[in-house]
Amino acid sequence: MPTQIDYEYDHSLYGVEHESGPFQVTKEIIDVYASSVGEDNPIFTDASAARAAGFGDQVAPPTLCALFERGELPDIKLQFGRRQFHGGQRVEPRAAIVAGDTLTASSHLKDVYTKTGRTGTMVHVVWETTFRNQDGIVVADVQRSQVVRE
Amino acid sequence: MTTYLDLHCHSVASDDSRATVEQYLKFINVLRKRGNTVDGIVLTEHRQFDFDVDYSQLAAEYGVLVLKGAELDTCFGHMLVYNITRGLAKDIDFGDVKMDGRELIKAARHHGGYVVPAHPGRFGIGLVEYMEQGESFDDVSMVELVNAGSKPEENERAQALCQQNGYLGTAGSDAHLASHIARAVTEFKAEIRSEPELVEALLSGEFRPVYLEETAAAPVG
Amino acid sequence: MTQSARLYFEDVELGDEIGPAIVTVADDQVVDFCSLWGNPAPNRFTDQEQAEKVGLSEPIVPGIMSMALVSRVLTDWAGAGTVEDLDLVFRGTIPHNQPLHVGFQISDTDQDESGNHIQCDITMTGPVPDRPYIIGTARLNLPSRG
Repeated sequence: MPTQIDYEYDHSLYGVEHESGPFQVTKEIIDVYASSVGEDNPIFTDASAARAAGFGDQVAPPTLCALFERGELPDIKLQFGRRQFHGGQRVEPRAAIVAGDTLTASSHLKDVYTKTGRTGTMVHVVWETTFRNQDGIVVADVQRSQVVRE
Repeated sequence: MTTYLDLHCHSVASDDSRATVEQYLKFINVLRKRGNTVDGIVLTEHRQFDFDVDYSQLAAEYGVLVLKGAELDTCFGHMLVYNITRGLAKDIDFGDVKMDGRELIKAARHHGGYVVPAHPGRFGIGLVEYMEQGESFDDVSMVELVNAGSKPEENERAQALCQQNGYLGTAGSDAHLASHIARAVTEFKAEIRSEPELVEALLSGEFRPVYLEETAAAPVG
Repeated sequence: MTQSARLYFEDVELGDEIGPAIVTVADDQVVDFCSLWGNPAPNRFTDQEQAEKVGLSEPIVPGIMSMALVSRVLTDWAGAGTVEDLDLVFRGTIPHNQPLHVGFQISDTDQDESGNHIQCDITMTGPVPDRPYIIGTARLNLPSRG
């Protein structure tokens, strides 16, 4: 979308898949994740309860995979602003992630655009990531919007 | 014939909305079952206008008027633009977030459209901020007085702006979620069926902003 | 995905409001959460001084942690394995140790060969309902009683 705001970034990242991982989904990670948000559903806290409900092992809460995406995305070398914040997050679980799974991620730059709001002009940087497990099954699609303020 | 229109809402075509047009229309029928009167909406997508998209079939299916406008970012805050023509789109770069708001107002009128500054009391981005900095806007005679997405104190600033300048005031939900549609609507005395009729009704000055609750006692139809 | 539902498609109608559930995030919960993603304390999410360095008035709850909270409230209500899509916009900074109100409103329902779907609008606010920290939607796939 054309704009008269001056900002530069690395356009060569478009169309490039950035691979990251492997990420080990351990029982310990699930336990800390669940306890830190007060999760008490036995599916997410107890392997035997999860198995009884038809899952292979203790289940990761649906948004846990977003942990692994953070810090793994390439620097787009944006020449704009000073302060960043997390503008939005989308998670579409496709299959259960359970303790013992090993995930890999494939990310690409979806969009970079500007808008204005209460805090002035902002640049939004949007990434899409697909997570697969050790069997190559897509377990989640994740979209992250990072916002940079002027 | 009174017409109740939500003059400001965003579908998933806008980056920060999570509602489809059909979900808005379904939800309006929920509101109608609850006794509210909502006749239609004006989609005001951020920084864009799609001439090709046609909602007439959906509108007929749900019995809700669907008009199209835009909410454009300008150097003087966000502005709602109604009755957008190809001529206006040729003259104005809708994606330019720092476009001259005064030029937009003039260009819209030239092409038969009309501009209403959105959420003028909003901190950091509303028209009030710019007027406090000494800017004046001779071509503005109405603003969005009630924006259901704004903070109460921001709408109070819009109210003061209207009182001090004799501006007329419209209303819109600024909905980004289906369940937020029509939280504020504009009550027109005229029947409105199209974008040109909307501009005509705005220019007539015969309208007032109302919250959804105020439509409950209105006659249905 | 295997479901462990607590809710059936027939239990909800378009327009229904659910909640709000009230959750509070304590300082130590944020410290634990941050330890999971390679961002150990002190940082802007856990430490006053670090927060002020980046222009915040106080440490805040990380976006992905607030998403985890919303997800927890959703699955508490509907059951594990029901979430097909959770899509949130972070509109404001979320403080620690303050009641957070997480509410849902059913904004769509549909049934097709892939299941019985409902969509919920989501808001997370503080004490002032008109100022959401988060808005968004979730799409759930629920079992049917039929």
